[in-house]
Amino acid sequence: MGTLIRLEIRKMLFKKRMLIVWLGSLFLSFVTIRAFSIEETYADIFSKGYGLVPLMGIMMFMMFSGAYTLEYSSNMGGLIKTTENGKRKIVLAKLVAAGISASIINVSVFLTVCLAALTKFKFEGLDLPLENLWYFGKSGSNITVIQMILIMIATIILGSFFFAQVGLFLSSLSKSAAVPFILGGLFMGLPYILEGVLRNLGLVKYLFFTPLWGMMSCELIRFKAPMVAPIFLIVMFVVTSLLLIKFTLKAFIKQE
Amino acid sequence: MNKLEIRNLTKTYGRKKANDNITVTLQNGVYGLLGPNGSGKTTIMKQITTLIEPTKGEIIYNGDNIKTLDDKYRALIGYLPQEFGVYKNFSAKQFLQYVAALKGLSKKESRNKIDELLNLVGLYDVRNKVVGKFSGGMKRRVGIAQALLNDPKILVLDEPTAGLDPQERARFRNLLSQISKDKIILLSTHIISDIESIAKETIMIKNGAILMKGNHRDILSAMEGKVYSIKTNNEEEAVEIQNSYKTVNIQRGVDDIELRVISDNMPPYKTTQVVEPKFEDVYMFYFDLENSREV
Repeated sequence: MGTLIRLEIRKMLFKKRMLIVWLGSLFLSFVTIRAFSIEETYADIFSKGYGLVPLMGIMMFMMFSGAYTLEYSSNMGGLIKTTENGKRKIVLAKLVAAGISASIINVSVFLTVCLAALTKFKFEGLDLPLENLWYFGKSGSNITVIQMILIMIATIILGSFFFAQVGLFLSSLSKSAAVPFILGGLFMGLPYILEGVLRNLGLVKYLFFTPLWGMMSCELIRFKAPMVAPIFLIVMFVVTSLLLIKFTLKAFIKQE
Repeated sequence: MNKLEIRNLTKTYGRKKANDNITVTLQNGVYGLLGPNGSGKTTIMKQITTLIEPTKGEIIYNGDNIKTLDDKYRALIGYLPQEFGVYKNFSAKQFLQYVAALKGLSKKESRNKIDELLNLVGLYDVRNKVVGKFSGGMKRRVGIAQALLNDPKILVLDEPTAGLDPQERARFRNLLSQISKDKIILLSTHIISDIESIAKETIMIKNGAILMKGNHRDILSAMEGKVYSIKTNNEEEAVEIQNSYKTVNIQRGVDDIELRVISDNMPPYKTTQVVEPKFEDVYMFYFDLENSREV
């Protein structure tokens, strides 16, 4: 299983175009942070971190969308399915590999933003409460900067695995990588696109229950999401992922 | 001894019967699956390799239904599909490592086996080069190597020699003959000489059903006295012969034209001679001429 996961990661992540976009995103993540006051710069960790979601989405769905369509188009799917581990285990290996790859990419983008900000103040003020940062001004949250960073890393990993499963499921259903890329991107990015409109309409509370906000958990804190939101999101992540694994296996086996 | 019993295998797609009541028992050795395009050869292979389920009938391996054996059965299979694209950014070695992992081989087992097979198919020196840059024949050899990784008891090869040069084909035939003692090898090909030289039995498929099955002698004996050679130096007569008889081969010499024809009755030409039937003749007799290539 370890070899399968390692080589699946190689298939998804170590492609020239993937590496170019990744490096570009890391560069953008680094230069996006500028030295203002400590409160403003640290607030940027979260505002700019959330602002980089479209790039994360593009990279993730670039990886996921080809995961099964590549097998179908190259006729490797048939060969894989005739092997001992070519049904259930390969579906799991692809999920773990996609989850790890997406986590590496998303966490690396977020950590670059963090490091760009924290190094400007030699890692001082990590215990600043979020309510001191303009981005969280109305939240009244006494969570510290470092705690929020750690929570974000954890939820980004969780979210990466969730979106990995969504992307893999869409890929398993499609013959062309374009379909899972567009549909998956929309599924992930819709809350990001609609945020402005919903905020003006006073309907932002509905975004508490979206997977994107579950992944970028700073938004839940920023808009004072009720405790039920993270609980709902965790349950939804787990249940949906389990169901999608089943559906993905079915779609992969059925596809000739 | 391995025994694979195919019982009343039928596969339908809507109204179309891709396979129609196929019953055959395979034991250790090489079996050639011969038939024109669309005759149902690949469908049989896909059912044997569990890629698709039969509409009716069953496949039994050593007394157990392969559906029940599931993963255990797949651990015994080696399969080379008709066409498959290797991952372009993988080296030959990485590709084989990937398939070895799919086949459940441990790291140690796969390391030894991969080196052995890369040597066997003559790709050891280029093992670390990306497969995307390989020629068609080299990719085919990678495919052959992956099929053998788990030392399969049932080896299913769909057009394995397509794209190989004559030397590689000869080497591949020898390899199959060597390894066929303890496994069932099912070989589908259009290249009649491949089947002629290595298959212990040939199964001829037409319209999804078995047309004929047997060893070379059985199959050729059905053609005994039906194959003729006619020589002529008259172009018009040559055209007339072609129009009147199923013509397998036309050989233009310096002074004359030699036609090889199949007929139930002896053609009424002075130079007509009965000749020994060949496998190619059988194919031509039962299948349309246009379906024969690379004999």
